Amino acid sequence: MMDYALFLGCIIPYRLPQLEAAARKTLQKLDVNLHEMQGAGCCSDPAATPALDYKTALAVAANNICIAEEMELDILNLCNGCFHSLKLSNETLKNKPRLKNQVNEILAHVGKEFKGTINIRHLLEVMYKDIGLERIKDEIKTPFKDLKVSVHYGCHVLRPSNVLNVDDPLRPESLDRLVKLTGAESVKYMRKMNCCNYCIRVVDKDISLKLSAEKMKHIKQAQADCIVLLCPGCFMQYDLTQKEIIRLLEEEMFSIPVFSYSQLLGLAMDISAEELGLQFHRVKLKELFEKPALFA
Amino acid sequence: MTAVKQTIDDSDIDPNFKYELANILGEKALLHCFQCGTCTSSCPVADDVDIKPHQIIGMTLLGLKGKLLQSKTIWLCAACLACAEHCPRGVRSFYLQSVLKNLAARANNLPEGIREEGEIILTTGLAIPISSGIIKRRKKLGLPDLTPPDAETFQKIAEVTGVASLLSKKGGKEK
Repeated sequence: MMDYALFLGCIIPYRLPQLEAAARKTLQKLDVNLHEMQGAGCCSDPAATPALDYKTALAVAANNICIAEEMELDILNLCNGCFHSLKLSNETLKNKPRLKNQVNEILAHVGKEFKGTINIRHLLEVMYKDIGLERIKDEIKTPFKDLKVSVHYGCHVLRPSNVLNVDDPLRPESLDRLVKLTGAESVKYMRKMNCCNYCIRVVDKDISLKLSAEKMKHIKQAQADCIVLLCPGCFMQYDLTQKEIIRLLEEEMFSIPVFSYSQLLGLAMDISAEELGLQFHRVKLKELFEKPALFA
Repeated sequence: MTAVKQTIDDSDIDPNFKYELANILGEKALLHCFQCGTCTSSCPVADDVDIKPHQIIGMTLLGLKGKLLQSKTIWLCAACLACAEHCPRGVRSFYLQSVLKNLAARANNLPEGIREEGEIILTTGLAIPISSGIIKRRKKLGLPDLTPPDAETFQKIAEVTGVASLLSKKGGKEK
């Protein structure tokens, strides 16, 4: 049995709880014990608080980390953004004593102290490194047979690689291998490592959607049946605003369903589409499920 | 978009700016940039901005503090960190741009979207408001009840670091 403190952040629990449901249900089958972090809040948001004031961002992240330090458990993140904020802050504070003292002076006002006793993990590395492909394979009941997936990692699980240390920052393979494990095919496509550009939406929505459209064009060209990703920010961009993005391409309308990796894995584990919350997706999945011989 | 060509006046230059930034960054790598443009080639946003990432570094080294801190471009970073990953000199444009944003926010150059996002995080403890529809959806999915974060903790942190006063200036003006 593996134990982690589950850090949910904001977008997953309060906007896309279906991603949380899929993660909880698949991890339960893999004997992972999740402990709730009472009182945890925003991670600091890679696009917002650090842009305003670096020390405030460190203090906000450390405030969350302190909760898990008291639980004496490593933190498991489902969101790339949260993972990025918490891991960068955790490593910085562990390695820079002067900054740690300054942040602890701020935290003293809220009755907390950062000690530096735990590690920050992401679902991707917990699946790939801790649980392992063999163990996951045991739980796959109905593998996919004819499903072409365009894998999208999301920047904040990979970079900066010298600190995050999850996979190769430019040629990663962990998520591709996890997808292949479900029987699906991971298609090659151009601009695979490009950013979803969700983070600049609040500053310039037009540029953000335009850049996503470029990537979407290549996903279509690769004839992918769906997009599989990890991060709720990327999910918001590709699912919730997919229609707006496709419209920018000035070609015939099309749609490509989006899954989080846990949802894809859940389907192959025979967890029902309803339990995985697929009915809450904006891009409808009906056509995909009507595809003959989707499952083996 | 083509790059901006501009005349530089002596009075635009702050020769200490680069040292000030290197000091905040806690490393001298910034001073070692040789303007190869690798950051710009790896940047997803570079085609859509008037000042390219390597030019931001170039302008920093020249000391064009005022121009940089008033530009919208420094806020148009997708935070993908491709520049940081590729830089052969360890400059990592992303980190430099983060420091510039911190300074710009204090110089009344703070995009409203970022201000709003910061305000909701540092007053409620969450980046997203809690909606009754989502609470119902959580129940349907069999998810546990959530305890919202202690908003006062976040407010206190913002007060102690002084960010609270930045957030109260909507569009650069006092609310």
